[in-house]
Parts: sequence; structure tokens; C-alpha cells
Amino acid sequence: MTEKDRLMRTLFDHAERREHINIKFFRGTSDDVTSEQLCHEARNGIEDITSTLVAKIDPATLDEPYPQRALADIVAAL
Amino acid sequence: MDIYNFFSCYTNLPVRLQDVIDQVMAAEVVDEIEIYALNLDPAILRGFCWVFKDKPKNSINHRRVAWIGYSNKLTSEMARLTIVKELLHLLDDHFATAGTAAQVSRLVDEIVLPIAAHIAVPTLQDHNGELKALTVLMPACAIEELRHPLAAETISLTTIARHARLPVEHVRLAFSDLWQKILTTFGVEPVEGATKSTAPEPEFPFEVPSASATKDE
Repeated sequence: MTEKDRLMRTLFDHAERREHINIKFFRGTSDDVTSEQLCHEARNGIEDITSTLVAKIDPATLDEPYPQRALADIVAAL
Repeated sequence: MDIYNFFSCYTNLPVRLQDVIDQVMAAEVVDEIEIYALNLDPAILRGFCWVFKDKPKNSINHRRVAWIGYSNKLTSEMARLTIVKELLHLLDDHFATAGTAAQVSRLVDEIVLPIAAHIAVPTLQDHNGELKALTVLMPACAIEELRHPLAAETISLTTIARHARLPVEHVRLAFSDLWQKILTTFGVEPVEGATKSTAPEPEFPFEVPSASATKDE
């Protein structure tokens, strides 16, 4: 079974009661990416989520380290 | 007003991811968005957005869920771009893109074509999503406000990038002459010297840009 087959099974196997609607990929920076590599990464990523190996991120924790500043204040301080 | 024009008048930096999420959620295209930092090789796959329908236990209703995954090896700046890129995909007409196994298979085969092919072939515009994310995270009003200090060398691209929490090479693009043409492609209205301290009240539902302008991977 290929990595693409495995990805398809992950996306379209309804055993987990998930019904696929759509998927988008943001390919990596290498100019030499194979479909098997891409499918392998995507499947592993999804399986890490489904197996609860990773916890979902609270977006606020991504924003917190960088408090907002008004542009007017930034310009005034120049 | 679409999401690009909504954020074009946003003059607080950095643009908060939560604000982008709030705008996407307000469009009611999904019921839940979950974001995950994953062990992805960024040379192969920087991120993905999987949308599916499920029915939680003890619930009689289905819900539409978006799982957004990004590589935990990306810089925080590139991670922000990646997350927003995937969030914006939720506003695409995604029922017509990769809803079947055959469509996903074709999408994978297109995505792995050399990057040069994506630049050369309009229907394979792999970079559109990244540029759209930049449109949101480096608002047109902010560019206009900082253009003169940048020309006068009272602020540098590196400092602007630090305020915007973006990769400096993306900020360089946003301040280039080419950028206005890109904004026009995305239907963002020109901004000349407009300054608002906060984003305007949104109007819903958002208009989804035309297929020719949004074609992406």
C-alpha cells in the first residue's frame, strides 16, 4: 500500500465518524517533493491529532507573546 | 466587505491570529477550528487544513470541523503566515476543490510539481495562499502609514517585520512596487494615507473572491 493510499484511507475511512469535506496543503520549501513524501507527512500529522499525541493550541497563546501596538504610536516613537 | 478589505484598514500590529479566526468563524463556514503544531518536515509540508463533518457523542447534530496543522519547526513568523493561509482557505469554495478521493489524488500530484511550474501555470498558483495571508497580516493601511518613515530610513524593514511578526522577506515584498498589483488581483481597494486605530465593524457574510483570483493548491 502506498502512502497516498494510506492518506486516502485516513481521509475517507468513516470508522472515526468523520466525513471528509475538503483538504488543502501548504507544500514545503524543497523543490523536490514527491507525492509519497507529502502524503506521508500529511497522514502522520492527522494521525498524531487523532491519536491525541498533540493537543490543540489555544490561539491566544500564539498572540500573547506579541502585544499589539497602534501604528500611530510606532510612528510617533520614531 | 471581504476579509481582505476588512483587514486592509487594520492599523494595530501585529494582527492577532484570534482576530483572523473570529472573522473566519463569523462567516459560518465551519463550526469549529482547531489548530495543531505538528512534527511535519517543513521542506515537504508546511501545513494543511482538513475540513470534515462529524457528530460528537451525545449530540444529534453534525458539526463542520477544520483541523489546521502546521510544522512545529517553522519560525513563529512563518507559523503565523501558515496558519492564516490555511484559515483563509476556509473561505474558498471548498466544496468544489478536493471533496473526493480522485480530487485529493489529483491535488497531491499537482502540489508536488516543481515550484517553478506553480509560478508559470496560472491554474497551479501555489503561492496565492501565502500572498493572501500576507495581505491580511501586513495590512494596506499599515504599509501606507510606514512607507514614508521607511523611505526616510527612520524605520527599517527588519523593525517593521518585528512589529508585524512576519518574515522580513515577506515584508520586503509588501513594501515593493509589485505589491499594489497583487492587492488589485485580490480585489483589495487602494489605501492612501488612511489611518484607523482599530479595524472597522465587519459586514457579513464575507464575499468570496472569484474562482480565478482564489485558485490555489
